[in-house]
Amino acid sequence: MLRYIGQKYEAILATIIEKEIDENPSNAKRELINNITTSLIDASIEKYKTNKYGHVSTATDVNEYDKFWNDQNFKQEFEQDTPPLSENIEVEMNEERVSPIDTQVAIPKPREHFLDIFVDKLISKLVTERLPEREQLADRILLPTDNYQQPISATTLGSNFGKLGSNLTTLFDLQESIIRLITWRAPSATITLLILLTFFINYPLLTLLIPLFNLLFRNMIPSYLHRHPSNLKKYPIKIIYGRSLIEDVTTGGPSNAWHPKSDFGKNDLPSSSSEATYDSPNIINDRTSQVSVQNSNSSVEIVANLRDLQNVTSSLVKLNEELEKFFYGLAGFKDESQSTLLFFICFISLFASLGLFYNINWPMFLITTIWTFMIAIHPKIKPLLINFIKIMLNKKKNNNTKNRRFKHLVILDEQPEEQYVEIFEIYKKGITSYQWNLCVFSNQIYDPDDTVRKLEDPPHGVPTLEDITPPRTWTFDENSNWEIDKDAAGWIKENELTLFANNDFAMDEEYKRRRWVRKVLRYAKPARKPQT
Amino acid sequence: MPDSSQRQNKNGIYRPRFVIPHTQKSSLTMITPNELTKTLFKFYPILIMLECTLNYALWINDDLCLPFIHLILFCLISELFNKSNEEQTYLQYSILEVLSKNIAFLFKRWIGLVSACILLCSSFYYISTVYEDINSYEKPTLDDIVIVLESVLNKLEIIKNESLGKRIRVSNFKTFVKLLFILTPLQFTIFKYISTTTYVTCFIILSLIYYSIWFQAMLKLFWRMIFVRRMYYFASSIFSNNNFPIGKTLCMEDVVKYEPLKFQVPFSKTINLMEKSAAKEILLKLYPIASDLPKLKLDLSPSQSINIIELKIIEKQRRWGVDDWDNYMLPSDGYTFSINVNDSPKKIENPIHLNILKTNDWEWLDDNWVISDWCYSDSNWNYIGNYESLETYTRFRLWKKRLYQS
Repeated sequence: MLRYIGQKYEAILATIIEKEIDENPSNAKRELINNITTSLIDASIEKYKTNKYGHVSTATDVNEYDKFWNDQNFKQEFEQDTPPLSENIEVEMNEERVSPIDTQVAIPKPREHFLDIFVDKLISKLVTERLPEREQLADRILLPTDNYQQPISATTLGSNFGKLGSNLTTLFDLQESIIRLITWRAPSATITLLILLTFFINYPLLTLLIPLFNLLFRNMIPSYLHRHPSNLKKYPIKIIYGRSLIEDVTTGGPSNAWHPKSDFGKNDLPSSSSEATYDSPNIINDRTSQVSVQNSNSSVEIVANLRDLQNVTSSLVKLNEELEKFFYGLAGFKDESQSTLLFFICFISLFASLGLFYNINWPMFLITTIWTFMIAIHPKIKPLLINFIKIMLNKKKNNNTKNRRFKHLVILDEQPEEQYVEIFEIYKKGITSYQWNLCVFSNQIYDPDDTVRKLEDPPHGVPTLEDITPPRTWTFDENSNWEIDKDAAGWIKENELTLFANNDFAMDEEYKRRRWVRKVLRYAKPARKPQT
Repeated sequence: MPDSSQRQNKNGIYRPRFVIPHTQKSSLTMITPNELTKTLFKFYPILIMLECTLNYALWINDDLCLPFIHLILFCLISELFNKSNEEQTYLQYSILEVLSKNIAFLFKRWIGLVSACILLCSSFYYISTVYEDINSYEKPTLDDIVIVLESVLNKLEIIKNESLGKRIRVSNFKTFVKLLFILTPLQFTIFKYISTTTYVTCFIILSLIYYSIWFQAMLKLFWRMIFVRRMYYFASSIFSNNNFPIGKTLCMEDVVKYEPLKFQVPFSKTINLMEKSAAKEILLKLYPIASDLPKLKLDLSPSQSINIIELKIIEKQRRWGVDDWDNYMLPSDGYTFSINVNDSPKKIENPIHLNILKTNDWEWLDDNWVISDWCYSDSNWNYIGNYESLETYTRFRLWKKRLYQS
């Protein structure tokens, strides 16, 4: 099939080319046409490939990506759930989607447009010589180095900007929040900023510890709290009485008309994000157009600049991915014992550096660190060092006793989360009034107001209790079993139903049902994942 | 409930739904006596202030900067009590230097005074605005008051559960003296290196952030570190009276010396004269391995009875990962293998190594160990059930074998 298409294209194009050559027998033009044709064929073959194998390749891509995000606490659940990719709607009590993976998997990757591929191929055909490095561009010396060579591609560049787009929103949010702080729209935050600035101006070198502090208390602790939320309940308190003196003084009292309270907070957020989304393409366009305007005198320079821009964005995307893997993986309590260890090490180092702060000769320390770092990454020394580290690591791996000791550093024995699930055993009335036939075990009550029943569908469910799977990320408590809720009147009242209770059963004219309850357990909520 | 959750999945996965606790309660307005409502209404401002204070303590306000500012103000008050160190050495400095030092000192005092004033005014302002707001807004219903009350109770409950040092408790005079002896030199050394202002500042900061969710999460993370637990158990063992005994590992020679383990069963004297193997056979017939021995306190003469020890060894294990059970224990767990003598656990060797008897007059009655099923328990060894689940972090079982005195 592939060959057939290739041959077909070649046959058609050969005739066109011959015609063209006859008309304009110029060498340069023939080369151009040749390039165009070959790129057209290449593009069509690639397009055919993606059409045929596109689904498979994207699925494996996503799976490879996902394997990293598999949570160590939910092993069985993942094994169980890998086949059903379609089943991804999960309604939790907290009204929260638990499985962003499945949504990821379910959405097929958009296919590349034929024109994109064609343009890519064309560029690579037209720019056959290797592009000069930036530092050599002025001298026009074409000395290629292998590790910096990357073909330019419109699709790569575009997708890079797409991937960076989500990070640009945070940048614009930051800009918005800075404006909010400067204009005293959130007075308490401004005062906090002033206090912090005063502190850091007094102890400027402490700013070096801010990243570590941020990692500990703005990334790791929230990740932990996401997995193990505190049992603080939210009560619907309507009115907040009393005001803060500081707030009132700085805003000019409660009757301040400049910025009413409801104005900031809720209303500012969407506007900032929408601004950001409007802004981002403009900025990108600005950058690319600037680049092109500056270097319009030479076509090689344009392509080189584009290549460099692509390289910058590619490395940014890669850096972003690695950072995400770190912040949501190792520092995000995906593997709880490793993250706990990391937290502890960071905490100790934070406080050790705070304690040693005045005893360290900081300039000397920084100078030695920078010198050692730069020497270590010297191209001749770096491989030697890497070799040395590899040998050391291999030695460590041989020591199994050390692994055992590592295992016994951290203990995870928190009380798991407890929840109860319910299922309804539904019977249908037979021919006589005493005969009831078991229909299904359903998660719906199937009362006369039920939507399924109104459609005159039979109740959905499974024939036995054994067929029921616990909710996603939860497991059944092995030490408890399904139990019948004896208080039928109680749960009828709680659910505000129009059924009448008869022993364990809640009855209507046609159906009766009883409620089974079982305990489910979960060690922790699934770890946070980056938003895609 | 979306429609798709009702349908059975293609792969046969069908999930139950969660039991939703119905917090919506019927209104109390009509059924509560008037007097009670009145009292609760009078109590309402205090309740609101308590709620606000608890929010500050737990750091769960909407605006987290405000508690931070108050924290800084609290810390700055300690400047009021800061002593000037350079009082005696004035002569060494020039007038300008003395002036600048004095100005700096005065400035600090002034800052302390101002922050104290701001805090005081702030709290008065808050109290007055609470009363003002209650009078100006529409009157709260009884349900509103009850919701605030429940919220306060929930927060108090959390504070109670999260308080540290449940094991270290000064219950009697002895522990008080111990505490005094340990903490006095500790405080003394701290004051040698840290000024009073720093000490007070640190104390204020710690007490104000202790119940914040971040600090509590941090403590919980620390509690996962084994060596932190070891230190804590060590500290608690100093103050508590029931220290963990560090005894030697018992072997069979030691076991047969324990009188409380032995008990007499009726046995004919004539059989005593028989060969060892024959005696054992008859004994086994009389007292089969599965049956319980008659544990009676009989006054039998040695000729009419025989001494038997029923060795019950408890084996403990802890879970260290997914399906990773291990004999490695925490200090609070006791020993991996132990026997109970007079209700106190004694460390004993692994029963597999106990099969060879070195004593002359004692013989094994049973040939093999009878091993019970595992019983699963939570991290503090409270029995949960016979099956492993997410709740179970520890497990224990019984090894049984009998000895008799020939």
